[in-house]
Amino acid sequence: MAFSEPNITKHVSKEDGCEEGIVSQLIEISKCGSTPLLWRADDLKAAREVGLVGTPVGSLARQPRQNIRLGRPLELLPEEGRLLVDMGKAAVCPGLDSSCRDPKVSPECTAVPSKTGKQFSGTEYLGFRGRKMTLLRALTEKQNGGTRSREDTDVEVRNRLKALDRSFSFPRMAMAVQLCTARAGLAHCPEERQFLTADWPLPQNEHSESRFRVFRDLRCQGFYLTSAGKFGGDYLVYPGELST
Amino acid sequence: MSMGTRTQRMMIQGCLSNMAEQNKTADVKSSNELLSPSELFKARTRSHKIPGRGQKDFIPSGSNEQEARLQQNLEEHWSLVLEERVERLGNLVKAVWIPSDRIVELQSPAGKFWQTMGFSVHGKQCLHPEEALYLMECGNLQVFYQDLPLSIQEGYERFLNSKTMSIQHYQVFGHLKRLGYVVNRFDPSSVPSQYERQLNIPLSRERSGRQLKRKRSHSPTHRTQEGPTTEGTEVKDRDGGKERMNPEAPPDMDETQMASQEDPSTSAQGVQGRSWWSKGGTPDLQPELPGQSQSSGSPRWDFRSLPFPDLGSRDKHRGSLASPDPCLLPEAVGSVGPCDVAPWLLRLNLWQGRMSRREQDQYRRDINQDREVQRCRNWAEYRKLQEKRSQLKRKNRPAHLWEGPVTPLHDPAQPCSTGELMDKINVLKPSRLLEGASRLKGSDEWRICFNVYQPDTVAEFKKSSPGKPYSRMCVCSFDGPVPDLRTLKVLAFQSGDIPVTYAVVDHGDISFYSFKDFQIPTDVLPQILNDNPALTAGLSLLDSRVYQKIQASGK
Repeated sequence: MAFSEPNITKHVSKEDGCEEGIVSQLIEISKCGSTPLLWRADDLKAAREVGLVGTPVGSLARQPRQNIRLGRPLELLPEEGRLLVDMGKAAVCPGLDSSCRDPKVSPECTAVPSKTGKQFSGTEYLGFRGRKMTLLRALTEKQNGGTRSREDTDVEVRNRLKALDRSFSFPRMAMAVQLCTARAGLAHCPEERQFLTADWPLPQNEHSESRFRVFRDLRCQGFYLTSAGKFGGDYLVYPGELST
Repeated sequence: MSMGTRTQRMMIQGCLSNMAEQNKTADVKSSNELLSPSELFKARTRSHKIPGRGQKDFIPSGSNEQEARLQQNLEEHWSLVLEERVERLGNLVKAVWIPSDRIVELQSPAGKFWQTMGFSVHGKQCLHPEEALYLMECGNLQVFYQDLPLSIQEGYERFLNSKTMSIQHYQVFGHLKRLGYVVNRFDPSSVPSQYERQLNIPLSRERSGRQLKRKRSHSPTHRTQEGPTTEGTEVKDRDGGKERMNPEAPPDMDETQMASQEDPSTSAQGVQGRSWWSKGGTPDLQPELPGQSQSSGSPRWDFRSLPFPDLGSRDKHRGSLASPDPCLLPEAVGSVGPCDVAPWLLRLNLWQGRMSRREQDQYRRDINQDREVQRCRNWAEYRKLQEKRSQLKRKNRPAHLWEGPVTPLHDPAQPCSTGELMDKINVLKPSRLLEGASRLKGSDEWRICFNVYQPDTVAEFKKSSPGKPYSRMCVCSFDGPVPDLRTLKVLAFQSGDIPVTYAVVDHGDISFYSFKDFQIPTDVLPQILNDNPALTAGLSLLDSRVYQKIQASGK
């Protein structure tokens, strides 16, 4: 594994080299049912730069149990998703139910455990270093103070430092674990992406088609749009950039 | 000394990993949001506060200061959105996703959430997908699938692709959970059946009809209090209680149904009793009581056929009232003797009010004082006179209204009670939410999804006996169809005594709606009618006498 992995990355990086412009800009729209969602923070920013607002629908990582501010994923209006695809700025990721999904599991399989393992050893090391630093600081402060009477405590600290070096074990339970928001793993190379990309489904009825046209027209005129079902309308139209 | 080498080794490892990290981020930047160890370590101690945003920040003033503040807000926003969930491993509950059963099985002991979420199957603790996903988002649960932890995105994609639990459902679920409500799936079989509901209904007088029907009390004290003993009280007293009940409520309750079954007989006896009471000498008693609404459907007690003894008429009354028919009385009471009303009569205020001349004119227009009538010598002549008069009236009618094939619904010359008038013009009958709902068949398209319990019940909430939900949720979308009356009825009936709330999801934005029965007020002041008799067409609930008075004064 350790051998094959760099190989893959090299291959990908080559591909990136020639088509970097497109790859870096392509927004990945993942579909949950028929709802277009954006998961990666970069995609969210990119969509916002194009002027699409969307609605955050997930719990905020920092404070998940409140409704005032929500976080990723960002739900897009169907029109927003279609506009992004039409502009060539986004690709629709096929849903899980499609059969071609399974073989793609393998790179993730290899990548994720090694990464989490690395995360653990890394945190362990950092934890160790942190503890050592505090003790060392305590020691140096003592030395700077230069009080002879506290010689014995100085020795004590030294002993603890040695003990720490000898048998430091970072409790596994205290390890910080990341719960990924977006799907982890390698990106698909452009060909793959091209192959996997699902077409934006054609609108089923005239109404959604006309909705989309109105949306596109208003967006092209520079307006910012959000949904307005609550008010009995189709869109709320804002004249300028919404501040947040 | 071995320490030193270890540290070194680790340092190297760390560097290597960092390098690899950088390499990878450069290569496949777009897909990599894994945190590096140092970032993870930092995140352990990050603050849990959300930077506030003031309202004033949004009013544009064009100043540089504001620009900067907005910029700062925006940066804070992005940093918040960017943040990844980092939890201590010890605080995480491990679980495994089992796609075949569409459940999440816990691998380590459940946390505090077990009080309100989850269920046990064969001694194993399990969670529904929506619960698992919510806990994942809260940073309490780590779900593995094929030995790999699922990201939130994968959770969404794997857990929410069934028809019964779509992303809209989850959004409603999550919204309510974040507000603190206890939410669990609605199981139609958990609702007591129609028959069970019938057996449990106490007859409670304080409640209005619909609540009474829907009330399903488990407290035994309530039942004994309102139980069969109530049946033994006086019939008249019961009238008062019954009157408030919805007369058209579906026949799915025990006591009300019993009452309605015995209703025809009692009212028939009431009619019998009329002659019995009128022996007392009040033949021209106006039996209709004001306040009896015609528009609220057929009344349980027809007060026009239920006479009451007129003790106030001064000319003739006897010292006592005969004993009531024993069949109207409860068995235990048996027969009661005649009622001596003399002491009651002493207490009655028999002062005769004086009417103004106009009022006298209206009330005391004795037919015998009419000159033309006086001239009549026999009935035939009188009838002829009547005919002539009505013809005269008809002549005044505009021909284009009355001669055509279509004539007005109501002849203004014909006095009738407002109730009758309302019946005539009633094109749309008032309907109650539960009216006829028991006969309707449910559809697959609409169903109740969640039971919702109020946050303040969380402390004593038990999954085994959750008690009565605060509300039930039906999830729909602005893109989909609007629930029609049939759906409303079916779901309201299915939910029984718990109100059904419709959670409408609009692209991440949720609005809650509920439908409730209400009655348009029908009381109206006579003065208004006097000013504008046409109003009577739109209003109801007036004594026919009052209406006649209006007619007379209008002429």
